Amino acid sequence: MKCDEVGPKMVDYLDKNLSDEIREEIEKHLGTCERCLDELRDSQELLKLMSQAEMIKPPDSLRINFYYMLHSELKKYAVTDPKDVKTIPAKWYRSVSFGIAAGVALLICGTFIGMLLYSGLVKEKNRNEFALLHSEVNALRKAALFTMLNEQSSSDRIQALNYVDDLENADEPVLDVLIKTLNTDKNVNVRMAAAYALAKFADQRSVVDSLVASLGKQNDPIIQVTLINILVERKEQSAIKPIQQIINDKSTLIEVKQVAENGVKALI
Amino acid sequence: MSINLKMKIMKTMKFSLVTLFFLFAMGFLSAQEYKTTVQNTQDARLILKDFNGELPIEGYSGTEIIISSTAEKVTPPEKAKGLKAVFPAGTDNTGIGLDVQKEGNIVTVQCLLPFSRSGDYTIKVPDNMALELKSGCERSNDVSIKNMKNEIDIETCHDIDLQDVSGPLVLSTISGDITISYSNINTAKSTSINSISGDIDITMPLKASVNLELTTINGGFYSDFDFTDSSKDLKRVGGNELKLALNGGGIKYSINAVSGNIYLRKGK
Repeated sequence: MKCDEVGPKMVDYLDKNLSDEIREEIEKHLGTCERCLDELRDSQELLKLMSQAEMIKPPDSLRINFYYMLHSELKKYAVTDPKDVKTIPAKWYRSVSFGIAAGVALLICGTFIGMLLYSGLVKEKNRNEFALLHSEVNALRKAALFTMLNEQSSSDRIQALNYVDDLENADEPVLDVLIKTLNTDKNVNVRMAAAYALAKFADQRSVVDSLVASLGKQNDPIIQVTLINILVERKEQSAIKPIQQIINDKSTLIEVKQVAENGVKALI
Repeated sequence: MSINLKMKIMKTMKFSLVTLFFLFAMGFLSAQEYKTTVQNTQDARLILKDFNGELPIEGYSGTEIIISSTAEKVTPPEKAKGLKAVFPAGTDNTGIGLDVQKEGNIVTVQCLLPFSRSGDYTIKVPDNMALELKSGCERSNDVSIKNMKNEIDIETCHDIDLQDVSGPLVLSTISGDITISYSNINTAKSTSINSISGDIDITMPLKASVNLELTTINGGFYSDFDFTDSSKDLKRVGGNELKLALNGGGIKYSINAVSGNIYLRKGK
């Protein structure tokens, strides 16, 4: 694509009104052309200013001056000598009042279109800015999760897991670190918080499988109870086996056994 | 001899007798002590592991950790001169059955006594240090902590009693009651409290703003606070989960009781 082709497409590009193909071509060109890039920046700036600009109402004096001007112009063209005038056949669309009416109508339409364009531009800009902000905050939350899980303080590690509450989706690295925390953190309250954090993503098969696997290896009564509750709530059949094992294990606490027995009843 | 002189002699004899007796008694009731100084106490942490018997801990404004033991002193045999007593969990470098290690601003104190022997320890610790206590069921007993301004992290099997604390608190006990009374609550960090078969009784400052998340399996929840936003979700296997915002809400404050009750009382 050449500069003179990019120029006219600039506004459409900024409005995202172009097909992916053409957009890519433009972006390729912009990558190599400093002048066009400058023009793009100028256009962006202009659009920004336009959207920020207040709608200025024309002052009353302008209206009055306009009619005065119109009147004086009309007087100028007023017929002085009737004999010299070539009469133009009087048609309704040639009358002055029609002209004024048409002018006013055009003005109103123009203003209306301007307003539509203006609000459209602002909405688009706001949507884009919001989406950007949202993804930045999400990235920050993920970063906080990974950093704070290494803190010495159990309260800090629990706080890290609370950030997962606000994450919309968890990718593999996040899920892996949650599972690792559930199985290996040195504090039982932190491990419990990790179980609840994982429960949010229990619609994924791999997460449920990890929870069931973890249940099979748990000795801690608090985690046993937590995992049984989470899995029974999901009606997870594959949890029946490890729960039965807990019931049959002589070293299981009575309170845990009760929860396990109720859980099995709910699952079968 | 004059009366005055006689009286003077009597007085000195009395005095020396008392001193002698005092010194004699000291020999029997000697509390052995171990002290260590800590730099930057507000960034430091004291970790106490596997302490037998009851453990009263008191915070004070100072820079030394002072551990006293009123247990009968075991004098090492003559043949052990120049040697240290070695135990499964470490080497006694304090003379009172403890192995103290300092790494950076973390002081770890491992109790070495077999669970048949009680150390009768009392601990005084700088009140702005973070405190961490880990003890299994077979040897631990009730823990009582007074006047601490920083994080308290406890994993134990018996009662936990906290008076004039600030938190954040990360507590877990298997078969004990947890009783908490705050001085100034730190609501900037998460708290998590678990008990399997005991009650949890918290006196919460009136203006504390936290997001309470309570779970009870077989127990109930009793409080004299007014809860404005409350969404009661009856979930869990035969249990309750309540999410309540206290004074507008704030950081997560999670309380889990399996077979005990939760009491939340209005404090000052």
